[in-house]
Amino acid sequence: MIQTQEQLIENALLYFKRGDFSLGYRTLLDTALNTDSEEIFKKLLAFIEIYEKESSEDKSSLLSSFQECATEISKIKIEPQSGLGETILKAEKITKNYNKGRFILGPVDVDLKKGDIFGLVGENGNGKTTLLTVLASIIKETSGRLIYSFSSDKKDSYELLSKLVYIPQRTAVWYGKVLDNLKFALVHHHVKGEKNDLLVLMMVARFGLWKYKDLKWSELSSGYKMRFELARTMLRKPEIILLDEPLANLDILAQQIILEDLKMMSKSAVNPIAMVFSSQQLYEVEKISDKVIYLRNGKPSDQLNLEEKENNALIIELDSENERTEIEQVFVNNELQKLEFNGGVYILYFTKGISLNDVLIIIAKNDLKVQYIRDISKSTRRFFVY
Amino acid sequence: MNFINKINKYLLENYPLIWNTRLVWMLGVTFLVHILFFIIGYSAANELNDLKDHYNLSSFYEDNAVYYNVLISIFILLIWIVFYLRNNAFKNIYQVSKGFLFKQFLLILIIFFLSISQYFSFKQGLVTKIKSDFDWEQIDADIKTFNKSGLFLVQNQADYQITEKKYPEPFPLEVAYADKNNFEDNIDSTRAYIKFEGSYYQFYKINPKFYQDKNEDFYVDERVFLEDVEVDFSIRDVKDVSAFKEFIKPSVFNYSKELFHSGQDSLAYEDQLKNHQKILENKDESEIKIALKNFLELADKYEISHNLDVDRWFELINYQPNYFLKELINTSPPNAYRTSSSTKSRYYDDIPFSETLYVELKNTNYLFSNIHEAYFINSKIEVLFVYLYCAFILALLLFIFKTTNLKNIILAIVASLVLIILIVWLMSATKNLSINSEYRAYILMTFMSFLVLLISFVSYQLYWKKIVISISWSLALFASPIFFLFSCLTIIRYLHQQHLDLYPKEYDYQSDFEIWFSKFGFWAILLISFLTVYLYSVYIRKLKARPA
Repeated sequence: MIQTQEQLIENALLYFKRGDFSLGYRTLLDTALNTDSEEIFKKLLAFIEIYEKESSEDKSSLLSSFQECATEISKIKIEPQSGLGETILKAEKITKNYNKGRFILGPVDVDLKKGDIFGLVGENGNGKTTLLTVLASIIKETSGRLIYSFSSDKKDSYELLSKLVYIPQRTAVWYGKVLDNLKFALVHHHVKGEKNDLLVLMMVARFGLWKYKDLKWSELSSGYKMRFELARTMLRKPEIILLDEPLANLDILAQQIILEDLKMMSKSAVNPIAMVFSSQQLYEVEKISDKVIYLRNGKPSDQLNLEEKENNALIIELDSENERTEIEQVFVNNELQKLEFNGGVYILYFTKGISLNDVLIIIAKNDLKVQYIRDISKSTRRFFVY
Repeated sequence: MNFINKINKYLLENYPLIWNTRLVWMLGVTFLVHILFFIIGYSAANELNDLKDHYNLSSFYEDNAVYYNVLISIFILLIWIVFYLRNNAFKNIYQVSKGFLFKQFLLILIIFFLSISQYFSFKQGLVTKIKSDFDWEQIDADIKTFNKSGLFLVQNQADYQITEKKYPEPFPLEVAYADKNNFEDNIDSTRAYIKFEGSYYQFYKINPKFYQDKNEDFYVDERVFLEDVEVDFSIRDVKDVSAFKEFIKPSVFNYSKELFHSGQDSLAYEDQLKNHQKILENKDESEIKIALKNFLELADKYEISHNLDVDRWFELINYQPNYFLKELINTSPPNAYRTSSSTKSRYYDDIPFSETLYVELKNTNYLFSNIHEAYFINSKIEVLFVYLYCAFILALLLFIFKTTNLKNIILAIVASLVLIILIVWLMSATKNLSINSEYRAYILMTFMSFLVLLISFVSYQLYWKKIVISISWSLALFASPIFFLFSCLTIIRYLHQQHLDLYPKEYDYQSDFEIWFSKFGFWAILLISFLTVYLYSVYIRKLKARPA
């Protein structure tokens, strides 16, 4: 859901007042970036200097400055983004053959709109990267059609492609100062002079990189490298971003931050971006994605007849200290259709009519020792049980 | 540092291409290096002997300066390339304009050219120094004075033979020499000849007309001297020079050389010969002594080592009336090198060298030619061509790397080696064809370079693999000027052959096309090279956007 600038400012103030300083701060920076105003950038950068120097976790002393900034930002009127919800990337029945037909991706249909985030999941070697690189026009599809509808009126294929950014799993090394790299990217996208400097610093602050802006690439951890990569991507104002495993090798905290950043980028009020990213982190992907594409042996989930099989029935993932027989005994009279144990967790399939809350009541009544429970009826997790 | 950072920041935020190529810093550094080489050049000729050590100004560079140049160039360029390759807008698919890549190529070409062309600054420094030290008018007057007295510097017996005599008319003449054993073979007894001290001499000019009439299929140059081959007497235009019979002996009268040539034209030479004749015919001792005195004064001025004085020298040469040589002056101090060099006579006995007297001219002619070059001869355009093309090739290699990748470069090098081997093999395989080898090489090179161009075109049109296209384009960047060059050479050769078929004797014929090519060929090749790079820069952009 894309929020208006006014809503964002309101939220930023609310978060900050509640004590969610970091979230409030990032939201405020988003609103500042939406204004595209040098004056606002200068004011915010002055605030950023103070904010980043504040060592205490309680930053409530900065509230008045924060409010001043918010007031200034609210004075700038933001034009609502046109073209929101329009299809920007349409893939029709695209296939890609490898090894003389030994591996076939697709046919896959994708209808990606501005502001959409699509998650791409599947086990290793099932065609996620292939699909991403086909969508990024890096490799040519064997059959099908790929249609981009960029807002640019330029016909030159190179310039059109520059509106699309593909970030591979292993990003290339940046040489020289990281700030110089960011400025170099931005200046090629026609932001020159002082504004270039201001915008780069704003973006660095937005992605939580302020303390790392003077480090070398080799001194950064994987998570910060990915965030610098995202900062650079944002400076390019792309219309489509395709990311291959952006969460790989990141700790759980870094993953959450990156996911939030991705969501922010995609759902921007000023420059909403269509995004497809692949990952193994199913729940995280599902949490932020508008749609999840599950690939198995190159085929998307809608072609695997998996949907119908478990149509509308409740499926529970459960981790418990209890024995299998105990669990079976508890649920056997409660619409349990099937129970599977894959070595780690139990998957319980129920017949139509029972809900998660019903299951929780049964668990509580029977005093089962549950360590973990999740409704995976709608999750692609249900495809990964074997 | 703060200043450098500020400039860098400004360039990065406003002129990314200039920032990326480090143009400003490279211009600054290369300017300083050029100044340094100007100073090295300026201080390279502190003494007269420095200018005598080198045949021409260019060869000054063969000293240490060339090593410094290479080392400094490599050092600067390596550091620069490290910085330059840090950022690549094109590979990151940043929004760059259509002309961006070509502009980038031009900038790196400028940087390469400035980084390797210190030679020009070195030479300019040297020329400036020479011009500040020597006034050409004075040097020219001194050379003329030297040349006027040069006939008395009797060091090389061969210069005093009658074969060397150039004045008065009918000299110069060829000489046929015989003793009584081979008289019939060498002397046309039906015409004038001279018998002198038991030997026979016939003086003549070669008549090329007679010669050509007899040998129609063979073109003869007037200068061909046919003394040693069996001669058809009809080619001799015999002259009766019995009045000069005495000068068959080595005599100052025969001397007709220019001691120093630099900057001297044919008028000066004629003037010198007249002067020689006059001074010898007048037999005015005081006049001769003045000439000798002038010579010795200039010898001191130009640091020519000698132990002559006017009287001893005069005594050595003053054998009136015919000024026959009695003794030669050594070319170096006789104690150091007892055997002074002198080309031996084939017509007359060797003249002995003086026990003591010497004049060590060494390479004084180099001194004068260097000064003359500094004043009148600009750097040869060919040198500029060489430096420009070296810079062009280096810039092109870096540009290909910048727009493709290392894999492409390596495979392109391998492909070019395969091509070279193929060309060599084809050259030897077609050896038996009845085509001139030069012509065959031209056609082969034209064909092979055309093939590369054709593959580049076809591979792009038919959507071959991207790596194949980029390799063929890398080769095409070099093949395109090669194709043009060898097409031109083939056409020139063809036109020449066509003309020779009609006019077999006009071997020196130059077609209009050949004249045009020799004048503007280099620039045309350079233009073609630039055009090719421009096309490459436009199409590599399209290729980048094409899925693999």
